[in-house]
Amino acid sequence: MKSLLTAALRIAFFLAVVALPASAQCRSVAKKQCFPQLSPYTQNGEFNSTRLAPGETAEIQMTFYAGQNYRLMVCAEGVLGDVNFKVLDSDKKELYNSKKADSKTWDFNVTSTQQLIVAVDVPASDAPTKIIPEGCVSIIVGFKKL
Amino acid sequence: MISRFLRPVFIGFSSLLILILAAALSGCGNSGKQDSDGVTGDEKPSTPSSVKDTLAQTIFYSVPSPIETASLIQKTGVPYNKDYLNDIQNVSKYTTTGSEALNLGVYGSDLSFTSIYDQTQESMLYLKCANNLAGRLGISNAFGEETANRLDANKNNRDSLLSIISESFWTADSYLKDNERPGTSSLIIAGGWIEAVYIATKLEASSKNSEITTRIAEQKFTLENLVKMLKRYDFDPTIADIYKDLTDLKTIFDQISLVKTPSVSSTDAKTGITTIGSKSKLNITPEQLKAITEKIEILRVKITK
Repeated sequence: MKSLLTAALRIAFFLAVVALPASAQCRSVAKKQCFPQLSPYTQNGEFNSTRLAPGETAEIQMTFYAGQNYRLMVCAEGVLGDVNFKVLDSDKKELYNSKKADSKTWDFNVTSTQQLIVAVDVPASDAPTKIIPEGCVSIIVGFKKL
Repeated sequence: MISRFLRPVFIGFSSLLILILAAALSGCGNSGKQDSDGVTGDEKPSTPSSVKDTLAQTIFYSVPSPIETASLIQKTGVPYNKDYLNDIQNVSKYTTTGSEALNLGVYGSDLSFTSIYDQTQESMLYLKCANNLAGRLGISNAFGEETANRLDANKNNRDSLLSIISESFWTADSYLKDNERPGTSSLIIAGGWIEAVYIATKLEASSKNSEITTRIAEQKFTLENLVKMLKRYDFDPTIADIYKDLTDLKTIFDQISLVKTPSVSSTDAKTGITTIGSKSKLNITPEQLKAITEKIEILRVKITK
């Protein structure tokens, strides 16, 4: 039992030192990488961030209002490589593809308020390793009056 | 429990680590103690085991801060009325984590409206209320002294005010989500949304401004996201209660008909801004508007009393 407890304490230390700061890193990534590129738009006050591994995807459903201009951007940690995103309307019609546009920010407006889906995908890794890296991905939205 | 949003760095190691920890700690028993979200450890949603071994897809829902709604309402030109805001004296009534979170959203929304309508003195009062509740929730840096100083220094620049308040909401949201308290964050968001829609219905009733009616109808979309967001945490009694109320409200919003037309995109070569053109229209009837107004008032009274 004693050795098991020692192992548990070591693991708890690992989680405290490695895993938790990795989470807190998501705020830092969003703030350092995304926010400077958002100006002159005002960010919408919401923190949409998650940790993804190569090959994983994330989707977010968002409402965009008529009468505003929006800037949409996705920031990711370098370890994930070239993270792309698509914007789809409620009929799943593709409106924007960052890979095709070769840009990680998209400025747009809508003539009628609607729900859009932002789909983020992390490219699969070809690296021959069993250790799968994870990294933060943040979706940031800024708005300003038309 | 390690949530989808807080997985250890190396997925392959996580299952093993958790198993060993669980085995080592099982002799201590589980007290079922409540955490700061008022949620027992046992009740928190667990990451399905298959997720750890397979590629996962995360789906989440966005509800913008009330600053965006306040900005849209202010653009209609309808005058401000402080009688529609929550009384600052009420702040001492909120003593549970759930009521503190909901009313941080409410006061945050009031702060958004007072700032957008250039009511500097009242903004400072609502900021104090928000700061009080944020402190009790352990997120005092979100609406703290620095925010007050910045608001004061930028009181004549509406864009800066918008930015400072948005940043406060972002700080609160990011801190709570990063610290495994997304349930508390969702209550702040719900409180802010309820207050913003409540104020919008009051302004509509007094002005009969059709643009505000449209803005209220558009909340159909945001409410859909909010309900889906809350559903994830409805194992918490406070969230389950607000989830039920908002689901009832959603049944009224669901009756608003949406006439959809396909989207057509075009990009302005000069500005680089794409316009997603669509003639989709929401048709809200006076009866539906009345039902929404009544229901949101009941809900607002319930959370602020």
